Amino acid sequence: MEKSYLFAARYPFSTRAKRIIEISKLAPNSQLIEKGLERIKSALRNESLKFSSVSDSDLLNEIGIYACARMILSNLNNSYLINKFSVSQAKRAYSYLNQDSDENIAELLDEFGFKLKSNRDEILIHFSTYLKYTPGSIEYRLIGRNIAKGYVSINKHELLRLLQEAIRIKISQVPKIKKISPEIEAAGKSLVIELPKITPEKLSFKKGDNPPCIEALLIDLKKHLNLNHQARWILAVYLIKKNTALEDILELFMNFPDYKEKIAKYQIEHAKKQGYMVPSCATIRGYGLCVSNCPVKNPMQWKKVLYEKYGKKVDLDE
Amino acid sequence: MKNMEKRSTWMNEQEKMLIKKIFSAYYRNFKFNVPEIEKREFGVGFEKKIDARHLSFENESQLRNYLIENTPFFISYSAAHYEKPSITPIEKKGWLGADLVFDLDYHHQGKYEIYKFLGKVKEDLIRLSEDFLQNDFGIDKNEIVYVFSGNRGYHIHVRSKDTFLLGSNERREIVDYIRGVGLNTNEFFSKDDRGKIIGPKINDSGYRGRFVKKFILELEKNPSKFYRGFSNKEKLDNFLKGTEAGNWSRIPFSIEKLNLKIKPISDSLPLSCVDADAGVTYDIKKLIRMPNSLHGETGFIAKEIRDIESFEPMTDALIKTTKMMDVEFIEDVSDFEIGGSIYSFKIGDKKEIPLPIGLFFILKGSAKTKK
Repeated sequence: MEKSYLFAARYPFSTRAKRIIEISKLAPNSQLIEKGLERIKSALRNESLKFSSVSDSDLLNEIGIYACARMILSNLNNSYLINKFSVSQAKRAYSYLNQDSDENIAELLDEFGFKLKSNRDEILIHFSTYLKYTPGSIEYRLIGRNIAKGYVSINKHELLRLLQEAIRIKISQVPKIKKISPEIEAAGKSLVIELPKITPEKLSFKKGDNPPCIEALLIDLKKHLNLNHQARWILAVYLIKKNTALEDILELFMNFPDYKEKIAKYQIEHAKKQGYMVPSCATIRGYGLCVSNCPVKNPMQWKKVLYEKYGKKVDLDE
Repeated sequence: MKNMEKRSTWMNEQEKMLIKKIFSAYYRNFKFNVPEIEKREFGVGFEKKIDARHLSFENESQLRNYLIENTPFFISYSAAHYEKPSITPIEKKGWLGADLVFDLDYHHQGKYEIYKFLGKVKEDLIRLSEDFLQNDFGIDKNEIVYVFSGNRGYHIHVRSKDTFLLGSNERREIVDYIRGVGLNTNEFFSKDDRGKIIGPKINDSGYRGRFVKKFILELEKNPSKFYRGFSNKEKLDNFLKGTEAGNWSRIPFSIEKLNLKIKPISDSLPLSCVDADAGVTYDIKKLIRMPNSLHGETGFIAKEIRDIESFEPMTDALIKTTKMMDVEFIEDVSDFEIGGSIYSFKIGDKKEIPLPIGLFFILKGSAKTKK
């Protein structure tokens, strides 16, 4: 039983954890709720709390803490919090996975429906699983991969990274719970006070002011989605080239679930100092971030071409 | 689309009625292949390709009756399956999954020029199916349906459980892969500690393997074009043996020169005629021409193809009939091959020609019905 508890405490989103909650009739209590709240707060600080005790009751509590955190999130239904929480919990799971037994890893892979084949020293993953859970950064693009008969060759680190992404997606899907206890509700309220104020839009981001790829990134950003490195970089360079003030860019970037002011500030200042140019549309396509078929070769030409040449009424879809 | 806007101006009501009659007669006997018809959304067009969508049919006979009675010039269906295909807005339809669809054509100027490129599109279609879908993605060939688009190209419908649930981003990644977006073969080569050029091996898969195979094929055709020293067979064999294991150093080229030399091969690897912009593949709610329906700009059957190697669109996609048609040409047409014959007409020519060919020239705006 202990082994099972340990697994469930590490991976409280798993079916096994769910079963343990059902069997043990674990219910929210004030201690668990408080710790659940603390777990969400730690996610806001970009930390992932881990546990050290291995006693059955403590491990059981670990599962309960996660469940309470989910209830609080479900009640608040705030995408910023949910995304922050899912990023941090997926990272936490990854750090356990990295040291876990093949058997435990296999159980999770199976739970997430990973279609795999092993072939001597390489791991082969079916392209449907690969594409579903790819972190989206350039080194994961299919174009540079060995793919044969439906299977992509990856290493163990990449496999765990894909699993982390699968976990993140699962945790980010928070079902709405109808009956919520007053304690959960109170915990949620206390949390809202600590939320960073979502930036009112200071910048001129009227629809049509930016090319569709940038618009799409801004929409994702406002939904607090975890954009990959290339996407953030393009957005940052674009905003810099549009002479957006550093504070305004930082306010926008605060929406990222893994935002760290010091790092973001350094990166934006560095990009500014280096004088990076906004990449061409071809490069953006290469990153898989092009979403339209507009008559420009670089996002910076957008306004010039569309407004000056064609006037404002350009419908790209037709 | 532009052609269709003109349709109302160049075709009179009488011609439209005649064409409707021909289309309607065709739909009386045509063979369906619409798996799960009740789960698909349909769109029809009378003036444009799609004038109305969100239609649904419970079964083949319901659809057949609709086509016989209403007879649109175009009919498309959704690659997607829905719980409730006719409900609007689209978000409420309940998406269940979708065929993976590819659109292949060449954009070429000229009313009749485009048809000369159909052979080339077919070659690419076969490459897409065999090299990419079957070899790389492991799709079973029985799950790949080839369809002539009815005009300038071909469609592939993949009906496989491996691809059915792929989302839009995943489909886009597949199109990008096939189109070679972001492909940089220079990245295949690097130097090891001792300065040896290490590159792809013959047994590699994906683009790396495709590159080596194509490279060797081209090299064997004309070895000394690549490097003069290769007129010496021993040197050539030694180099080839090296590349098999990923050693590209048995040639006195710098890595930069090697990259320059291989560029034409690199450029030939992706399939650029797969339509990337129309969103046919990654827009999982898009409609696509229904296989075996008629195309309103040509009168050709958007035919589902059993034997792709032998398929000749300019004969095999014509409606089967022995009927003839009287037409008068309103512009010159020169040396155009259709239905196994080459036709040339001068403006004002009045001719009796096979019905599907007359239909084609009327729909293309080169002829009208003889009064």
